Amino acid sequence: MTSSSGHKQPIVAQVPCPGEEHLAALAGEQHIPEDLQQHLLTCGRCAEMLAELRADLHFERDIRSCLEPVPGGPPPEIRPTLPVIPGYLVLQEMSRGGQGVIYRGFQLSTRRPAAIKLLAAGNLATLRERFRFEREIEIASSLRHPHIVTVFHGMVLPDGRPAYAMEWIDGIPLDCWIEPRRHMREQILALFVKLCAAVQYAHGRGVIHRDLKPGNILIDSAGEPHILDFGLARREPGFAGLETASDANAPQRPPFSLTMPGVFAGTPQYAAPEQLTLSADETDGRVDVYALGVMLYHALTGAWPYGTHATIAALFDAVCNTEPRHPARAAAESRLPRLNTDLCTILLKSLAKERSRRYQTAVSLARDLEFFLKREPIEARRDSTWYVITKRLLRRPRLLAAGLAASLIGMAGLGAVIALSARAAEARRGEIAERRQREQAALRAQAVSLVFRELLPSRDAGPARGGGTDPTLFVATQNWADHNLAQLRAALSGGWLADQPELAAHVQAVLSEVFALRGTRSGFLSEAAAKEARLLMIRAYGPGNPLALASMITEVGALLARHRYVEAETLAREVLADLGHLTDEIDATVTVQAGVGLSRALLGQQKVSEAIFAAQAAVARCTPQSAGSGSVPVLLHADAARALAAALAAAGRFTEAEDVVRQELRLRWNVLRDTDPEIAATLNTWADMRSRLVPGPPDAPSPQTLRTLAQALLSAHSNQDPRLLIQRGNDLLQLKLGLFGPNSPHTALTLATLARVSGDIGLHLAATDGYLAAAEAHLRTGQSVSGDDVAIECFTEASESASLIEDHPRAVLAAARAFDLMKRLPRDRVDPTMLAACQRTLAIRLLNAEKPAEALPHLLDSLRGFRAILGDQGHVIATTHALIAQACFALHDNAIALDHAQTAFVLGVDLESTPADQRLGLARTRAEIGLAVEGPTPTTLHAAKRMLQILDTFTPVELSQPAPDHGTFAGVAAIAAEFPGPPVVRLAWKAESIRRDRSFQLWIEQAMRHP
Amino acid sequence: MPAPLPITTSVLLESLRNERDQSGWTAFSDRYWPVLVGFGRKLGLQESDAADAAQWTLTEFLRLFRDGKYERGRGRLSAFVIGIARNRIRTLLRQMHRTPHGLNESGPADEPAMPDDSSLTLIWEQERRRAILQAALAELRRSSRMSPAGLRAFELVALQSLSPQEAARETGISVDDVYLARHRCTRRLRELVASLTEAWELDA
Repeated sequence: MTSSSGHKQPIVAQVPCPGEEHLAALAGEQHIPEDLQQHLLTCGRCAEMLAELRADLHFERDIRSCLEPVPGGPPPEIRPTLPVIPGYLVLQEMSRGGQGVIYRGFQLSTRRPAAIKLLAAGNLATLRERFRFEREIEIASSLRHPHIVTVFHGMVLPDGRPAYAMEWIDGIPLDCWIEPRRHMREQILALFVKLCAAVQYAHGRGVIHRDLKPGNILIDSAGEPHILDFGLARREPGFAGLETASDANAPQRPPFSLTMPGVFAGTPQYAAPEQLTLSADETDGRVDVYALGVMLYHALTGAWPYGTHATIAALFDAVCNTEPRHPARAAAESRLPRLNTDLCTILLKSLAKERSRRYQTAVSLARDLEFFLKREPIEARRDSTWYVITKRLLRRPRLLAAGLAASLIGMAGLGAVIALSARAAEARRGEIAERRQREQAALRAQAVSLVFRELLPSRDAGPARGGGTDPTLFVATQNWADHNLAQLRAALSGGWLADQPELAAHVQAVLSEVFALRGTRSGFLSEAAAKEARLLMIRAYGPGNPLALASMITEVGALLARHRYVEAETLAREVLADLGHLTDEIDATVTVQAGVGLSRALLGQQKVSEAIFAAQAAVARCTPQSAGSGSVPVLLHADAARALAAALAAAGRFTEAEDVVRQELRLRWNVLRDTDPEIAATLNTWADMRSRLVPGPPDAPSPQTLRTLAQALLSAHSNQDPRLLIQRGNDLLQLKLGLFGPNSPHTALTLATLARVSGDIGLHLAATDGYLAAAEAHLRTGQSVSGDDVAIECFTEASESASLIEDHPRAVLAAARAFDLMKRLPRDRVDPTMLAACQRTLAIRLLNAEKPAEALPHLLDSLRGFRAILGDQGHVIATTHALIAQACFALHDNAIALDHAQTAFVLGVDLESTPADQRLGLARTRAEIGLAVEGPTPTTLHAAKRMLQILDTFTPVELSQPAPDHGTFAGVAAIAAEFPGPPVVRLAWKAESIRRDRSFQLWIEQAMRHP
Repeated sequence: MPAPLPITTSVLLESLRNERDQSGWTAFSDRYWPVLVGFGRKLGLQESDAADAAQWTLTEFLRLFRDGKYERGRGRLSAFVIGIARNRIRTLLRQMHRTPHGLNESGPADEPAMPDDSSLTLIWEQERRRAILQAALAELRRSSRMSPAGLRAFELVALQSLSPQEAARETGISVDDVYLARHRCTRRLRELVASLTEAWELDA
């Protein structure tokens, strides 16, 4: 802006301080003029006065409403005003959503701009809304990432409303930022890489945002994105139960679900299909990946993946049932530059309806975007033609009725066939062979689709179109599907496709899998189709071909499911005989599969010894040093162990069987999570073994313990009671100690988890013991790289826990171990700041243990360490000075103590980066040492007054999380007692009002009566 | 002149134990009388019946307290007093409904409905807050060094919602002085309410 004379004027003219009358009028206004807002940001006196006047106004309204006569009275005042938020001045309302209202303001003490979010419904909020809001605060506060808005702190307003303050982002929503840059694709992609990193960070902490959309992403003036609004975010169960429970501010879990069953939460345009069809608990981080995909699609094409829809229902239908428009076409229609094929692939993969086909993590999406930006090949591949055709086929209601579709959608068979084909192709290696393989698969897929198209529409599809939930109709649909499948089978048996054995083989294999999935009712059909498939595969590809062998294994499975043990045995033996000219890896895998099948078949015929022999052979084949060095998947190894255990148990050799089950459990635990159903199944098998072994060894787990543990692990997600978790955790620990011994990472991890849960519910003694044991266990694992790091962490936690229960000797011991370990780490793996911090922690523990002489050298060392990295400024340096002052004071080195206390006070107390509780500590150290060393001088009184200001400015949560530090307030009161005059009374009263200690109250009453 | 420090509920209860200490009883009943009367009125009693219920509740509480039936550690004082008051109020309401005036055309009125416990607690809290505000206002009027005109201006603006200009005209002082008086009185009143609430808080 330029004036008429041509002189440049400041954008905002300097505004003089408004009079009190003006400020009082402003206190009741909803909006403060821009020029005055600027003035308030720079004039502390006016800002504080306005905050006070506004508080007066609210108080007066409160009085009026309270003093109304009992019946009737004047109507309540409805004119809204800006809220009064202690410590902040609210400048204007920025937005109002369904859940919360966001105000812009700034913190009075620090002048930092802030956004303050309040629960919209205020005191009328339901319990569910309050819990949700508190969860939002808890989740948002737990995240610290440059691209996620930083929450300063949560608070409860004087009227009981929850609120939180967060950093103010002066930015624009993502879509507004993109609009003028739609042609700058690289810039957009680079921004999305950052967004993906932020989303991945949140996922890493178990937080799923669930409402990512342009409105919730602000881009600041530097072009950096910031994700906000975690109102609908959810923490994944594993994190809610263990990891995050350590947050003392975490709201207690409500006795109800925060998401109403069947009620969609989110924004439909950005919602993944599973968000519309599954309950919240069943969705995971991939919904955020999908939302990122939609935003990226819109950013790059200027269009929506499913076009626009008149109704939400139509949109929901499209999201669930329609394929997204091809991005290249959408971009062309929007007259945007041509979209590269790789970019299209990335977009389509992000938007895959089946989440298993989507990018599994935000970071994998980011990686592909980075590859694209660097002109390197991306990792994502387009869906194969086979997949595309099958998928289209499945989505055509005329072709496939609901019952058939249900079977086919879950059809693992297709996947198995393709996977085996793919594995065979990999085994051959070489790009050409792989391409040929793909072409063949595509051709076969096309042929199969033709088969379905030829056959299925020719039937009466009437019942299929009915759908719905009518059981009669459902049965009719099932029957119709059975009928058509049988027709297809008959056609194949009748020689149809006889000239295309390869195609016919695949159709049969598909049919076999479909029937197998339809349960025992279709078992015989599955078996028959598997048999046909096997014969056709052998005819098409020759005996010994991996595809033929795979179909034989499938048939063995089908036979076993129907208790046709003799045929199963014969076939399994045939497979074993046919092996020989395959690559090692496939050879080993198929050998073990066949061995397991053979063992089960023999056991079914009560040929126990042979079953044991077959299973032993299979297990032996799994060991890496066995003949034919191909590796076998761990879970297949576990299956072999399971077969062997069953055979041994049938022979009454329970002790050996138990050993094998333990081996099976070890194997499964190496790859599966504690909560996997297979772990529970193995535990139950073990329980069965144990119940047959009478009496068992004294240290062995009882069958009841094993069964309870299995049950508890299965329901671990719904069980949030930490005490029960500890009980089961102890059982789990004993089990892992028995299985893996004390020197295993499994044991150490369980120990640390247990310690954390103990600490979370206040069992600090148990937590200390647990962390120490976990640290020792990690050291014993011998994994020098990761073991030491985790051990340092565990020792540090142990020291913290011990300190909480004032077990100073152990707090010192643990801190010393952590420091010793960290010192010994190679230089390139140690952050010098961390080393200094670790040494300072040790010094603090020594101070607490009243060993100032030992603490002092560590403090001086850590100060040197910090200075080397951070220079002479900053709150870290200040607080270290304060600690040195305390140590010197304890050693009666008063002059040096006062010197350090003064340095600490001057350096840190007014520093914005100094956390509130540390500011209080700096002021307190200066005031207390000053009082003791030089008596009530003005400098000491100044420090005491700063304590009062800090107490006034910050919430108790900011000052000492979460319980008030009694020592601090007692200290304030004690210092106050040394100074005469009215501020003393106020100081003491303030300290008392926060502490609410009755014994002090009497003292203060006396103080106030005799000022 | 600073206001005397409000007596805490704990001190009040201690003084009730001494049968010779009439001042303790007076202070206790002064504190709870307006709350109990307001409570009775909110529940539908006439002024005289509400006073009767308050009197009965206070004496009954004193009796039970001296008999050792109430212990601080075992529950909130307010819950205990509400329990006594509720029974008395219900009796009075029942009597009121049985009188000829309480008969409607179809015969005797139904049993008077009493709000649930959480609603009763809410009503109690409202009345307690009102009593604290009244006490604070009384103390402000008694102890304030503000001129009568300034005090009046504050009441006109803060309690009767007049604009500062109107209050200035009414009291004959300048608008600036009205603002000043309002600000000082509101601040003082807030302090008084805070300290009274603090003293009462042990009752919460």
